[in-house]
Amino acid sequence: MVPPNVAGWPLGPVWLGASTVVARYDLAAGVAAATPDGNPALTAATEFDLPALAVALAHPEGFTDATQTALAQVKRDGRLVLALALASPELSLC
Amino acid sequence: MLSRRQFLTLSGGAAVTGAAAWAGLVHERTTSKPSTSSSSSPSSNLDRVLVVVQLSGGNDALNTVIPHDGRYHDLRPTLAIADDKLVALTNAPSVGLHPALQPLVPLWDAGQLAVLPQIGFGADSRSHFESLAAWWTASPEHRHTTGWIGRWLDATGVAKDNPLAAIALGNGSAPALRADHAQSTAVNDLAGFRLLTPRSLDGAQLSAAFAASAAPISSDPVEAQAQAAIAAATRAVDLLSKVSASTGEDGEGGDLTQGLAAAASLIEMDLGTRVFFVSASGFDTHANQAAEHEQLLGDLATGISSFFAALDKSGHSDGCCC
Repeated sequence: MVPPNVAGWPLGPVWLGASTVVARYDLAAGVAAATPDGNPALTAATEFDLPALAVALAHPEGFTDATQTALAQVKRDGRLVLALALASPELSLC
Repeated sequence: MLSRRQFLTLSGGAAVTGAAAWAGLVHERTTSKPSTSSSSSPSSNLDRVLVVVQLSGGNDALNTVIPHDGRYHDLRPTLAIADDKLVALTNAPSVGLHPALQPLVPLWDAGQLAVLPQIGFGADSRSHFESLAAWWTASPEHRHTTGWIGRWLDATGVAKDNPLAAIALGNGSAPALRADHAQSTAVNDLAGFRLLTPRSLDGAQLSAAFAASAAPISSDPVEAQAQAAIAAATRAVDLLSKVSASTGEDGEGGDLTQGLAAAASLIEMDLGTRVFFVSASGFDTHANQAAEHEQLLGDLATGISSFFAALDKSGHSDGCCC
């Protein structure tokens, strides 16, 4: 956690820039690939139990329609579901 | 405690991410000039393109456009560049360019390079952060929190439905593009700008689904903004992967050379981009200034001359101001 300079981190929509989106995707994919079997979030993702997945990722409000549709595209692979959920707009915001 | 949602919606405050900046080299091609390309004229939606090059850290202007003045040598006993090493500029007898700027001479001779020295603003507090905020917002009195390009995007509406209307390449360039409404695309690190999926996962499927999560747009404005960022980022990743495929392997040339090469390729792709903001850091050369500054200026000069050579080749040079 090294801030860019002595003024600290900037505020505002700069965190929704293209580079942060890409970094978030890369992190989410890396985390999903490295998550051990038996992890509750990975189990929920593998079972495609989206409410349970949302709870496991500390976002009990659940996923938006757009995210649910996208998650359904990768339904056959629990790690892809987990990666996509971690990179979703709602989890970028909290 | 501040939630991330609140944090993201805060628009106030001078958000500063770089160090002092200077851009004194202005290259303009406004006159009509026959295209060297045999193809037809640039397409109509590419009207004029502005390319801003930011030398983050604050360039040493006195060792860039160097005065033939005894006081310069007196005050810089170790760092002064000897008169006989300076690059002479026709019709500018009182100054010479740093030797590393030799590639810019043909542009000067063609009347396409201008130097606007000693530009600043009054009431300088000597704070790096205030100076940068003034530079990005073009508002020394801190009347604006948006960037000067961002306000132009808002006022003209050119970025409406096109987040690629303004593209920032390189760290610390995005604040100039900050707008109240307009979306733009900021890429901090060109080489690292790709969707990386570990080999054990199906990257093609994951990135396709990721792009799909941007639609349909949520009714929540902040969530919609996050979705728009995903749409813009995935499109930009796709486009820039084509750029690096066409310009050869990565890592060739310095940051400015690479950034300007990417800008030239994107102009050729004709995506409706009207502003590029290319930034490279390292110009706050406190130590080892002589060698580092020479390398940085070499990157700048190579970058600008290659940029215009590429545009000449593609027939897009007439509408570009760098």
